Amino acid sequence: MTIEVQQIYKAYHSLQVISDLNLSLGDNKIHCFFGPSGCGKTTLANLIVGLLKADNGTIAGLQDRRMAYVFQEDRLLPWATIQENLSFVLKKSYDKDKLRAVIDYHLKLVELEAFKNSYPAELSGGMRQRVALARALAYEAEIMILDEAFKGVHLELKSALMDYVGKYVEERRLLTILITHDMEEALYLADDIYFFEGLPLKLIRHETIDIPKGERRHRAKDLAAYKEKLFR
Amino acid sequence: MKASIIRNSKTMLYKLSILMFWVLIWQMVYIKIGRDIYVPSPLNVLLRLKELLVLTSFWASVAHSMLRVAAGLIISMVVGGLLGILCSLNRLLHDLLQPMIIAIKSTPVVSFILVAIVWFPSSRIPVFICFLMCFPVIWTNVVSGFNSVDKKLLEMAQVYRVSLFNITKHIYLPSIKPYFFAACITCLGVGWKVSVAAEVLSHPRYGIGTQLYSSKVYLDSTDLFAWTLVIILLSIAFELLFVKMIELNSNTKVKGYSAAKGAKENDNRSTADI
Repeated sequence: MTIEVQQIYKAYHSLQVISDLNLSLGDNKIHCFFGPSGCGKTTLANLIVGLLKADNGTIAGLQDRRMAYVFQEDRLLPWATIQENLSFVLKKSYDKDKLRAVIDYHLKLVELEAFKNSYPAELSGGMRQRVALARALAYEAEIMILDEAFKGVHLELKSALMDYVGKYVEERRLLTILITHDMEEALYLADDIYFFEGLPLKLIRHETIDIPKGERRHRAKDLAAYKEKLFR
Repeated sequence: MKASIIRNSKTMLYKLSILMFWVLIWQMVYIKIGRDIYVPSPLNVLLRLKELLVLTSFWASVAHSMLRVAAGLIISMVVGGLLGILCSLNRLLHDLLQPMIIAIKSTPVVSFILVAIVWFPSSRIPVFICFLMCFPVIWTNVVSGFNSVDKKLLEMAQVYRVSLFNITKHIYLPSIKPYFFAACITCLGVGWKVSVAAEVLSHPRYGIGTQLYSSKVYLDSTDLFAWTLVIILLSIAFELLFVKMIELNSNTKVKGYSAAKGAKENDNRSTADI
């Protein structure tokens, strides 16, 4: 189901963050919100997941759909182990044995299976970010928000994780919003790139990237052309 | 292993010499004044303590006082903890209770003791006073623990649709825990002081305060000092026992989140005025 953002307004006190924004986000796609930091992208994402309420306007197409969110901060429970952190959000979705298998699988995916009994404070920032990503992927959401999700992840693992996310979205047909200010990340993963400026948040350009994700690695020239278009 | 034994005995020696320093000061003051009725000598106090230790009345007094303090503390923890959580959840209840808490906190403890003497049988008074002095401390700390909950974790739980039960168990309670324990540790000290003060004024049949009162009546300063020493030791023992219990019961060994550490950090936040 498409998410329809219609004439959204949002202000913090006297600061107008979003003013009359319209956006249509189709299913089974990775939508990238691209723009400078502080332009209101995260506010838009928070409106979509319902953490914030718009002052005016509607967002249609959300009807109780399961959502996962990788925040800019890891937002892990400091008093719980990595394993407990995952089970905190997952345990109502799986029975006991399945839960353990799901947790193990996703921790392996982000290369942290050895740390499942560690506490967040014992991990580096990048490692905690990977735990947050594992938590989101394991949740089996219908809408997934990735806000700077690959920040602090080393290059090699980052590209592996991005490949995985691309495949994951394709297989499960979920709507993903990737918030980033890393153009390479956007060009590599996104189906649609929304180029924002702010404040207030304004959609400057929208490009649909038609190159299949599997081929993008080898078609740097075509991607560069998109990049040119976006930055023109 | 050997190194750690040496290190341990070194710190023991260090602490012991600090203790000796103050005992020496005490001894010098005693020599200077030269009258037991003003300041008894440390040796005499110790000897008196040894004499007391063999008396059944000593152990009866200690046992009764300990029971009273423990009862007062446990009631405070349960009532303070529960009311603290309820008041955090309900604004009106919080605003309703807060003036009463502030009033209790700023009332001199002797006023309460004198009123309690009219209200209760003498053996219950210390329990009531201990509760009255400790409960506000626990309540205040639980409320501020609740307010300190990381809103970002709550948002995360909201997005992932975690149940209220699990949010309470895994976010609220762990956030309140260090505040609650800090309040408890403060109360262990406060509880002993006010309970004994209540006993002095209400003199129940058995009680450390009753013994203090009779030392005063007979102008027996050595006795007074010996009993005071008993109170200090019991208070320290209670605190050590409590900290040990927390450490055994919690697996929160993470740096910065250990209950005992959190307690120390918050210690000065919650001193009750007596």
